[in-house]
Amino acid sequence: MKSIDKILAACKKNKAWAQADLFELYSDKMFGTCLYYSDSEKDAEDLLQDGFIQIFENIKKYKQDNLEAWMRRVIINLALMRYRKDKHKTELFDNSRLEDVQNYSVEDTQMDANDLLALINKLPKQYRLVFNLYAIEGYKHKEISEMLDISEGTSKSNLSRARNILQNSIKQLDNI
Amino acid sequence: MNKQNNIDDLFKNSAQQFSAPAPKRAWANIDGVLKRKRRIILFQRVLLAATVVIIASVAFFVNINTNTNPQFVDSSDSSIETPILNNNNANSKSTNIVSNENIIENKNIDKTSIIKINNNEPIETTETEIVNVVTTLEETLKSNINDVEDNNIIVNNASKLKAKELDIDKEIVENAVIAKGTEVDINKSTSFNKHISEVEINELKTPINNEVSMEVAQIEGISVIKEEPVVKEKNEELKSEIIETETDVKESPSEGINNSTIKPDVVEVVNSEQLTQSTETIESKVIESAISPIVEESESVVTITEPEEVIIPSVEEAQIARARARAAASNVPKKLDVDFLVSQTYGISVTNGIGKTPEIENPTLSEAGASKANTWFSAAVNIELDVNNWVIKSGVRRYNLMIHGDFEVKQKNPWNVDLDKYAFSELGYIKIFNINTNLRLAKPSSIIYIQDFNHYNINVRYIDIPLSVGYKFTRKKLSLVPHLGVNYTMAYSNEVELTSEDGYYMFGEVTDLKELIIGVTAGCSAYYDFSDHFMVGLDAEMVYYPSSVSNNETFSYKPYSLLVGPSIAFKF
Repeated sequence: MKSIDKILAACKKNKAWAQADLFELYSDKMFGTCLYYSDSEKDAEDLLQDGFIQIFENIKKYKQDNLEAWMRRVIINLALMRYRKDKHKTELFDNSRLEDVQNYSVEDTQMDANDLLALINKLPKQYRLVFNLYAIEGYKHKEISEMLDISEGTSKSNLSRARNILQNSIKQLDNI
Repeated sequence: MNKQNNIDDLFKNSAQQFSAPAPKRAWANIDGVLKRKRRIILFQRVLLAATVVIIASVAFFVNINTNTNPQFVDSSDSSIETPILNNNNANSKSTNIVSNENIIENKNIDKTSIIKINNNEPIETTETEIVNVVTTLEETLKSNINDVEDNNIIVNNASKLKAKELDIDKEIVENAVIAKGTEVDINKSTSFNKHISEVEINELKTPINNEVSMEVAQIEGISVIKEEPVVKEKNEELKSEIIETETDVKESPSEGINNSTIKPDVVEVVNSEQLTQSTETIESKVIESAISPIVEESESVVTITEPEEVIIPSVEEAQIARARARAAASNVPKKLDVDFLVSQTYGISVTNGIGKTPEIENPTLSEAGASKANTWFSAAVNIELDVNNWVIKSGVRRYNLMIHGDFEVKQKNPWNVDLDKYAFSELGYIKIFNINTNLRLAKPSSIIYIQDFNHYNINVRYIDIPLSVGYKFTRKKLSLVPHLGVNYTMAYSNEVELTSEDGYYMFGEVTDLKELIIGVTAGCSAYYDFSDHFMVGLDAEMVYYPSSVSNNETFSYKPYSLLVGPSIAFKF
């Protein structure tokens, strides 16, 4: 297997073999990210394909040290773009089902990554995006509000509700 | 807050380490999109290159055409000395124009009639000036004639001529008397002019002679600038004849009108028209003026010719005229014959096989047979620019230089590969004959033997842009264009398919291929003109690539190919 630098250099020259190599190296990781930002596996697959095409088209612009983080950001930006495009398709979420789980600790949960992903995917799309961007990617509310075209207050509110839902879900699953 | 951080950290740690196997068809879809984009980019580049070639070719030939256009008189060139009869030179021309214009104004001559004198449109700005000079000179002559007519001496002389019993009929004299009191109408009566010319020449010789000689000299000077020595010589001869004739008339006025008296007008007509017309027209006028009394037909001022009489040119004059005609013909630039051809060629191409296989990097693979010659169907769109039988040919052609056939792989040491375990992760790619293979199986199997993949097809397609120059030989409706040139060949598709006897296959691509290779080409196209626009033909072309298609030193392949096929062409 060639080194990542060699692959990257060849990708910048639009070499097909290097693109295949890069895909092989990072496709699984990126597909995981896609799953976090998609409603279904099918959507995640579409996001992965479009994301890699974007990556190959823009790889000449890449000048940073962390290729994986850059690729991840490209895919997240694409997911956000899709979200903004389909924003009018509002989802209804029944808040009355939520219990007060403020005192429940999640430290001792035995859930694995797939279970947690399943929980994330149950969140309403906007809640999910706000939670992913804040909790996983580390963006600030101001940045999130700009990314999703919402107010900072809405971002904070969405995050709070998302946390509440997730805690509630974890508690329910742990009780089982 | 801590609880919030706990849940955030829980998901953060989980998500950042999370990965899921990407769907297997994902890469196939991505690769398909990338290939399409590559083809579009390649097509755009080819289109751009072809456009540049066409524009450059057209610009080149247009430039050549411009350079071969005849140079018109540069009146500002003061280095050219004016001739003989007068001290005038080219520099004094503008002064003459001014002075002559003053004369015109002073004489209150209708300028419309001046324009009528010469109906020819000026060709160049400098020629417009010359036309002005000529017309003003002619006007000067007109005004002089008016002066003559106003002068009683004319009548007296006419009476004298009559008294001397010259054969002048009564009517003519009456015309002369009528003309005396009227405005000059140079076209009104040629017979009047005929008789008055004697008087004019005799009586006005002194006042007019200077002006006439000045005008003639000036016209002649312009002729010299135009570098037409034959005309100049002719003019000189004619002028000397004028002088002689004038002398003769002076000495023996009773001899009546001599044919030679028309000569000044001939000179005038020749030169004035020469200055305002194209070379061909001038040439024809010179001949005409030499062999017929055109003075009466022209609108020239001094129309004093006997209309019925025909001047038979001397042998010398005829020779001069012929020489002049030849000179004029040789000065006429050849008309560019430009054709633009778009043709399509379909044919069979053959490429030499790879004689020596590249080194095998994988120690488990040992020998490989040589490939066979490669034959494929070729299609091309050609564009041709044909200028005066010189042909520039370019276009786009699909090429398939690499092997397209079975390639037997013999293995001594079978190597078991657990594809389920290694195909996409640790193993990734294996290297066979400089081919990167992406191990993807149509029929998944836990263990297969790599030696089962004993045949492979290499299918590397190229887009070829030939650029050649040829010369067209034409005989009736057949034309033959041998041509030489270079080929710019770019790889656009690179696929390798390895197959096993059990129906397994895997795909890959040849590594280290050059993106662009340059070949030399020689060929010949034969066309038959079916109509003004449609042609059918036969193309034969040999292309040789002197450098290897691969950057890999262990794999040297310098292909040559022969293409033969029919073509259909449309000529614009």
